[in-house]
Amino acid sequence: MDNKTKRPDDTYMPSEEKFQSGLNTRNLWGNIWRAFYFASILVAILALIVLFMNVINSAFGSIATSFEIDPSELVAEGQSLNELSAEELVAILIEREPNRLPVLVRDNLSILPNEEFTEATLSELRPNGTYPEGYADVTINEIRDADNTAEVLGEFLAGNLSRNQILAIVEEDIVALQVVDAWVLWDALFNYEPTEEEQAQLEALPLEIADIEAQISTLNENIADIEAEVTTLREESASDNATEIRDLNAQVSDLQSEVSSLTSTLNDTQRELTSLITSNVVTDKEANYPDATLVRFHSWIDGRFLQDPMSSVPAQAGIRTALIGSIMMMVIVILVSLPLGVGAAIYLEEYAKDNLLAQIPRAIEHGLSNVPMPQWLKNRIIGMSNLNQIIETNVRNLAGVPSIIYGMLGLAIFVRILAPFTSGIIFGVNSNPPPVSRVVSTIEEPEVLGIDLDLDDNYQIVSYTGPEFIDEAQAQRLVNTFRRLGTPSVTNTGNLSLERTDQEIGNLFGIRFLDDIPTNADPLEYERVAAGYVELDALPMTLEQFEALAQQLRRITAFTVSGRTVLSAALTLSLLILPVIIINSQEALRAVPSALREASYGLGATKWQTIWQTVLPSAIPGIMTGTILAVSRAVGETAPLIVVGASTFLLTDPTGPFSQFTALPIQIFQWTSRPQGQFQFIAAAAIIILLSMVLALNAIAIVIRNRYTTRF
Amino acid sequence: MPENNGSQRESLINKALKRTIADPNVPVNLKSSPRIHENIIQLFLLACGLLSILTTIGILYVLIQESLTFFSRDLWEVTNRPIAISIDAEQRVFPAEAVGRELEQGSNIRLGEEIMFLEEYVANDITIDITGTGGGFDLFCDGQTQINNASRMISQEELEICRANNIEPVAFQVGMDAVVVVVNAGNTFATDITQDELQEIFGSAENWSDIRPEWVNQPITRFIPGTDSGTFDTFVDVVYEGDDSVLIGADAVRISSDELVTSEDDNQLVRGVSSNPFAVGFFGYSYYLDNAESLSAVTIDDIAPSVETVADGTYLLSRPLYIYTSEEILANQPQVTTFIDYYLLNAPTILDEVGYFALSTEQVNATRSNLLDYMGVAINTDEDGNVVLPEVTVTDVSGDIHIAGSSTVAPITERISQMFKDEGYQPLLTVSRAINDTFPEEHRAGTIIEVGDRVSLWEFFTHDKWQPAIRDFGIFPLIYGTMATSLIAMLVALPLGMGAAIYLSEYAPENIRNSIKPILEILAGIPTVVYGYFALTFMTPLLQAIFGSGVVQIYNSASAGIVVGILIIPMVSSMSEDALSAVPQGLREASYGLGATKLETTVKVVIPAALSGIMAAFIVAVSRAIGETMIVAIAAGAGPQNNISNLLATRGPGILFEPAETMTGHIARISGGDLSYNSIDYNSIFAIGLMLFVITFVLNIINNAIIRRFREAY
Repeated sequence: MDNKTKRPDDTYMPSEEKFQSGLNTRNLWGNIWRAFYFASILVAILALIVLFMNVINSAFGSIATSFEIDPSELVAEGQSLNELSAEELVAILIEREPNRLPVLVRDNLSILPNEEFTEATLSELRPNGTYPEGYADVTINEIRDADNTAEVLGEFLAGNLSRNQILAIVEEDIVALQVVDAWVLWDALFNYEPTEEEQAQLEALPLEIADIEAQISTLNENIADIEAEVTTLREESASDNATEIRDLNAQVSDLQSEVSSLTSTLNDTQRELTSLITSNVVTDKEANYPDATLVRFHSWIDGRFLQDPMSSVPAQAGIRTALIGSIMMMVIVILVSLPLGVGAAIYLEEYAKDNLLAQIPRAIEHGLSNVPMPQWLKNRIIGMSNLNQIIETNVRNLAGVPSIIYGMLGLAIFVRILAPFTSGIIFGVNSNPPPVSRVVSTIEEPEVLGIDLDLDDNYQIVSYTGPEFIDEAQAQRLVNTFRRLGTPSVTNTGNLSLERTDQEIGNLFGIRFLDDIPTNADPLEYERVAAGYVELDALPMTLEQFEALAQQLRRITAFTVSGRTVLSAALTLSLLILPVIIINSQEALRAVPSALREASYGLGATKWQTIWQTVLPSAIPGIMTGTILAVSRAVGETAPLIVVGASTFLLTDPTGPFSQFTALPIQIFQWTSRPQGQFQFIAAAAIIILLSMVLALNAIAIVIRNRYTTRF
Repeated sequence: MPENNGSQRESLINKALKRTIADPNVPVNLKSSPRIHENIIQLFLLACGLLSILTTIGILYVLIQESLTFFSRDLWEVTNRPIAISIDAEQRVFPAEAVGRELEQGSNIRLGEEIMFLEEYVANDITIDITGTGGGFDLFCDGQTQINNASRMISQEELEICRANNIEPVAFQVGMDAVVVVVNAGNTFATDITQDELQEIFGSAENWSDIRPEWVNQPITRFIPGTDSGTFDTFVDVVYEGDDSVLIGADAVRISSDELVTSEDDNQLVRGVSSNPFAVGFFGYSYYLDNAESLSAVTIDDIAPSVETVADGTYLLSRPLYIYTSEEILANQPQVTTFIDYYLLNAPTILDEVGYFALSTEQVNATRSNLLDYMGVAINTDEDGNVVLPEVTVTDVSGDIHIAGSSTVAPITERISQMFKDEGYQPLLTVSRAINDTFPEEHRAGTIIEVGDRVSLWEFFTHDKWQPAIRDFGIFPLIYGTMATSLIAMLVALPLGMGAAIYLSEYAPENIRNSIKPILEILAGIPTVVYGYFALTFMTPLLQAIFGSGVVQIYNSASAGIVVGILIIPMVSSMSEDALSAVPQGLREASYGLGATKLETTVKVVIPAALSGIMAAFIVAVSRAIGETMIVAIAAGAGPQNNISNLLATRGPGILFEPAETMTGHIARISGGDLSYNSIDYNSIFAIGLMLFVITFVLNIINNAIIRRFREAY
């Protein structure tokens, strides 16, 4: 290099002065960039703060509530509904809605099908209940004919329902509390009441508006007068009064322009007033819901929010089912992914370096050493033969695969191909909740039905065995219908028996269940569909029969109880976080110094004993940290669950791994996508719950990392 | 290598064990740990490792297999809609195909009315059937029903049939039904239209300027309710006099012009219109009221829809709803009179809930006076001048009531019936929407749409529209969406992530670094659905406040992209910081020694030395941005951007403020819907998934290669 040989001289080295001034510029740039780097950090922190603020802003705030009947009307002065006893609450029911009592008894106490309700005695309605004295064997119809219907039924209700249940009935049926409008926390804190200045304007502006309106109407009257004059003049003689008419017309147009300018002022003022009114909570509520009660601080998260199932009314919606679903999934995810992930990590760290598989590439390398072929090809072949290396690389690649791809894997493998397993069919388990509708859920013991049809080449039924309420002609009609509708399962390949576990045969009967309902369906739509979605063409049967048929079909076909269960979702998530757990566990195992292993060997332990008794215990804090972080990722994962088919509206709790499910993030997604404002608030509330779960898991991980990690 | 030493020692120990196996002094557990167990354990652990290979194979198998189906299946499909059951008095399940049609009609006005039925009404012996106004009049004039629900006046023909049977119909108007035409809130030009223009907007016009030259030269995007809905019927009845072919088009051409979207879900219509400034749509008035912020209602012939204009019928898209009974019944069947009395008393309070409009005071008074005349009761008015109806004592009357007729009116009648029952009415009360043994006409949804044979690879990669509904599969719009959001994300994340990394590694004191890194970890640990919420409820309004809400759509690439950027900042910064920290201190000190400033050292020495690690971080970040789903599914729009070239020409970079669905967003939306396993939609998402997998996989490989090839070892 020239520089090395060139003697430093004045032309090479900058002059003192130049150096100094250059130094300033250089330092200046240094500081500018330093500020930028620092700003980058600040932006990230700011984003986090804004994100939290945004969520908190929506999860708390003011609400305006209204009810059909003010609870204070129902109770004595100074009392609240919550303080009343069950008897007092029932008294309110008797007083307010005497005619609804039979319905309430039917809905809350009866175990019988609805049509038997009126003919049943109280003890039949509810075995082992408490009955009003002397009424245990009296039928509802007889009670209805008596004079004291309400009292008897009221006593019956009071004796068999808890106080809280009755309170819920009173609140729902009589008070009927609704949230009519809601405002974010920011408004509740800073824009709650109009400031004095605004108050003054609020009073002044209507006067101003009235004033302008008065001016406009005066002007309009003037215009009308002049126009009338013009008409008179015209009638007299248009040509004689031409100039006068022209003058008057000019006046009119002047006035009109004045009117239009006034009108635009009026519009502006009105807009100003409206924006002033909506700019704070109190006046906004007064303007829109004068009768509603304003609650300044309301938390959308409360005990009810955690305990209630979903609802299409935001103020009544809760996350119970979602929370249970999420927790269940987490348990299964840990049970599945922890042993598999740690196992794989142990294999890769402890065995893969020197086991039999590791010998193969060496042998091949040796074998190829004399074969004339390009080196890169040799390397490639050796690489291909190194299964351990492939596993290692593959794990790293899998960690980078988008989560939604795992969802698709889950959909195709767990939901569809492994449906008999994931839906619990092969275990004889089917814990799918019955359809939500009360109508169909009253059937306790469905009769078991067998349906068996054989088809000939022309799709005609050759033989048919089935429940008596479907005769052969009807069955034939079914087959024809589904052929016409293009249901692919109906092929003329001979026997077609519903007793086969053929996923498409469920399709033949077109029975659609909760899991087939669009997960993005409107909740109300969902309820409607959930009442039993059946595509039977002209097939009269009773509801019990339908339900029995449905039960039976669910039992014998994999398709109808499709694999969209907690288990499928959990397995999908397990696969998703497996690479993360493997990589983290590998790190933890690698951190265990080999001296420990050698000491163990030295004491005579075998390899597995060394791993199990020495290496693993030392690595456990690291493994736990990695696993918890991976699980916290799984808790918040949404995309794969959407693809696997989480329900967006589920009223019944999932009961086990083979249940329909939904999860917290799915619920948040669903609520966020709804255009109505109040859903954003409950979405924010659910986000807070989700974030607490995630952050708690993270905190645990950090504590474990800091406290228990052994440093070697 | 220690492991080798370990295994050598182990084999030595084992040899020793074999020699001493008979020694009674050897501990028992050593004797009883046969090698075979060890091997089984090793096999099990190997299986755990192989599971990851199996996962990859599974992913590839699934994606390729379904993609092959996608490219090889015939492109026609019989769509048939799932249909609900109906239940009658004897709790029989009814012809579903028949019932579903009408049930959905009712439902679109206010979703979920029917479920209330299924739950509430069965117990109360109320039948739900189908007829429609005309069928209902057939029954009514035959004397089979006492009351007929009607969404129009009785026709002359029907009147004559009735009179031939000595039935003199009497009408009571009970409410109003209204449909509102809406445009995007940012649409400032189309505030008023005439009836003829309305026909054109939903008819033959392609661009807004086709209707009035002064309007923008932009294609009209139409969002209309499903063809089975009552709203659709009302609209077609009023605007096209019942001829729906103009609207949905028997000709495939009309359907294939991509500016018509039909949806059974009114929420989607709302979102559709509110996300596109050149969109127009119509639906029930109540949905408009729920979403009045993002939509503006168009006045028709200068008449805005409002309670008044709907009540007096001056608003074009409104129609009165009636119930009919006869003079003879009013005279002889007190239970019907009582029921109607109860009806007129209570209808005004529930109309709103059921999604209809109240009548004006005059109309209410007229109807009530009409009833009072038939009851032979003098007309009393209260202090406000309202006609007072006698209070009803339900339990005083007996005798069954049978009602049939229009499904549009049925929700009101049904609600009233329920209340009537709750009041204690004992006899049978039926509200029918159908005649049991009529078979409905063929469903329109069963139409076969046939376009071309198969999706060719050529079409998949070159076609510029993705419209599964009309079997148009060109992946470009989805790739565009992914590119747009990822690009913005990288523009956000690269400078900020790098800046943060440099600050943390080169400038920050130890204690600040220790407190900032957990914050970045928290940022990285927040579930993406939360970021989606953040994008939709914070970032988009922020952008709208900055650039104007006319410019920035509710769903847009920019907002989603920025938030994806924020999501990957921690990833970029932590990986880059690792790379920067790995540069040995000696290099920096040498640089300082030559007189370089800290910035110069960082930029000219440290960054080049850590370049491979930084590049790896970037590539991982790109891969993450492309694969990100929830943020884009929530905030980037729910439809492929099929109008790219046009928008690019008119809006330039503003196209980033337009909605554009990404590949991941599309997969999530389609699979979240009613996915039939045998549909081409199902197959198509796997083809997209394969694209996605290939892209991210290639990025991964590049990443590995960079790390391997350019890693500088110090």
